[in-house]
Amino acid sequence: MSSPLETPLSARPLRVALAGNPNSGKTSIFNGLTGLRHKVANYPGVTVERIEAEMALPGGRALLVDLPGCYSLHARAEDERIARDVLLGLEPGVPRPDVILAVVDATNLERNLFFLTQLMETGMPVCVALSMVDVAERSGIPVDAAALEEALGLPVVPVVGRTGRNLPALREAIARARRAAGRTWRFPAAGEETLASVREAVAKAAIVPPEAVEGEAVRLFVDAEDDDPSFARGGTALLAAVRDARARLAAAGIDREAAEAECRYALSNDVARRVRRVAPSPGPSRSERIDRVLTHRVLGPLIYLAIMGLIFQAVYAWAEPFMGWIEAGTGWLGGAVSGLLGPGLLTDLVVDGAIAGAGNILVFLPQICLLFLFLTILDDIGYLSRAAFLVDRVMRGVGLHGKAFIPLMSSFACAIPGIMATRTIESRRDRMVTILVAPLMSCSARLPVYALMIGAFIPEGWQSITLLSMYALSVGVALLAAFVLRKTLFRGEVSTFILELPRYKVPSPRDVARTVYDRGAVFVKQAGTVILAISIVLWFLAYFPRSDEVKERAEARLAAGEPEEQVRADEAGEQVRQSFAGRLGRAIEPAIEPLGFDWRIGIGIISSFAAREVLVSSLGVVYGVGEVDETSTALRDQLRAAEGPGGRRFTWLTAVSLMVFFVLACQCMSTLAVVKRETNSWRWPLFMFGYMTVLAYFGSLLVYQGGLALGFQ
Amino acid sequence: MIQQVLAYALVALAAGWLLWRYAKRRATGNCCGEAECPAAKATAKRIEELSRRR
Repeated sequence: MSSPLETPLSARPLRVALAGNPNSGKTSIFNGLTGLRHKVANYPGVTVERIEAEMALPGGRALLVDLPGCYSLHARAEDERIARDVLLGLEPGVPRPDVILAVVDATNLERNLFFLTQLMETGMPVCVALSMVDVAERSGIPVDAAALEEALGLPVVPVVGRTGRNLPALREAIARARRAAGRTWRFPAAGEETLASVREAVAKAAIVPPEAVEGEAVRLFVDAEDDDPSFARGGTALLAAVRDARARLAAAGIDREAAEAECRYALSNDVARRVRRVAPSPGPSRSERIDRVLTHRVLGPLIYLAIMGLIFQAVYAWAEPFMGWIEAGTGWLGGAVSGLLGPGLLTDLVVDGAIAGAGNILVFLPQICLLFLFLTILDDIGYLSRAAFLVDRVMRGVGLHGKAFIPLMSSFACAIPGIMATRTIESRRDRMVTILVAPLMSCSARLPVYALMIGAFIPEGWQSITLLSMYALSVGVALLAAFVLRKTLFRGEVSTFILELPRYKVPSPRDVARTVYDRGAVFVKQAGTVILAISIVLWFLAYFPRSDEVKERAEARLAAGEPEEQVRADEAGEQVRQSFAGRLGRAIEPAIEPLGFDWRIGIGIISSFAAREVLVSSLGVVYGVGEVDETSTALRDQLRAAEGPGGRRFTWLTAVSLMVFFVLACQCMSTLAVVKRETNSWRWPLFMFGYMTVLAYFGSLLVYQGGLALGFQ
Repeated sequence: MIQQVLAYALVALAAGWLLWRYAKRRATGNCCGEAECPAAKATAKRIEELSRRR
């Protein structure tokens, strides 16, 4: 029935594979066991993360390998294939694990046991972490871990990954992992007969250890494709044996896949029935009761809008003090550097280029962190899946596939991973529409632009609604664009999609903190590298060439007795105007003046093609170089005091016009490059750039000229 | 004079680094310059988690 681990822990690090269904609490257990000291790499040649970390076990250390979450070893997707190949020792360069730590979600016992039965047939020692036991208890479906241990013949430890409950016991249980009895279910008679010939062929081919022959035979017989690595290793004889067995079973009128699923589920259901301390309540669960409200046809969207509105309000209100500190910090730093270095070219570069550029972007770090804090909490609770459900109806209405929700949702952070993630959408039409509208979703690089404009020009009380409007505009235009594309270039039916709504759960503070930290770190890294470098180069372009003529004019005015402060300010402004960057900005000024933008914003728009948030640092540099007060780096104040086209001051109308432009324009070279790669043609990125630029220009024109016509300033 | 040299050196360094980064991105095809886009992988994983396949 079982055999203990043969490898003493002290001999070499034990390799433990963590396997389980998606959403089974695997990540929390991994974090709890390893203390977040993980290494992330890729499995060779694929886009599946390989996450490993050391963990302490009684008597030694072990290497815990977090496998991609999957429902079955019958691989359908790339991550499932990786999980299967690692467990079976088929993945090149990855040693076969010594032990499987199987995570079984106590709230979804039948489905999780289905996968466990496959793991038990790999011939490896298995230890079971029974997760979500707290949720199961609260839901009135507690599981008897001792009874489950007896039923499976394996160590079973009830754990709560989020709080770390019972993790020490789990460490001890890993060291007690045992081989399972093997296959405890049976095909109908004809199936067993044909399987016997496959078993014989697998044993003869010697592609797996003897204890894994049974499980491998079932896997190859039921579901393996012709390009399965086991066939490559076993040769044509093995493939021929499997094909022959399948043909014989089909002739007997048995669908082998359906038969296997039925038998495994019968076993899983039987075990689940025996180990649940009470029968599942016939009434709706708490999650279902909550879903009745949150996914309600009318209430659901209203609650969603209210939640998002509250989040945006909090993003502004809560971030303000932190932003003030960072502003004060950058101002102090500018002053300190000026004092230390004295007047000169290097001081100008550091203060007006580096500090004004990178510092003005860093000011928005608190807002980025807060936004992702709220979104991560909502995701962890399980609410974002409900949001997907809510918008699925609307998305289908405009011809977007249900699977487009996550690419579009992740495009709120950045369109590039969203576009790349569309690879999971099988239909080319569905995929192309998603790719072409994903950059319309308001990415986090736009947030500093909104935050700057709203902070500088929108009165308090209107700030969160303005920010919400920008996001609503981006979603609305994306849906409209998808509808038009579906009716014109990509006609056809939308494929079906099944969405799983996970149970609601209390978010894990550690996981939330990790996500927020990761997002903040990306932002800071971007500010400290790309934006800093661009700011320095832009400073050079905005500082040179220096005009002697402008200088002489200023000297003449000073000699005529004009106030020095005014003369120096005018001189600084004039020097920027005739600099390389200034000339570029002025070259496009006639085209953007109808939108309410001047040449300085023009410089920002051009430079923001490197990354949208560069607009903020560019304005910081352009206004910084054009300023005589080298300690003032509060860009919001400088913008309020600046003059726009025609001598008009910038107003909230300019701010809204600029924000609308940024919502709709495709100012991201990286996005265009990724679209080119994903579509294998320049045609689609050029089309995308063209239609988004037209949308942005006319959207902005409508806002600004419409606003002026209505008498707004 | 030293200030000028340092300033020009910083500008050259920043411009050179941006060019090197651009070349790296061209070579890998990813905006982060890494061989595989970690954000795309995470998103693809999330989709799979939300899509029930069996």
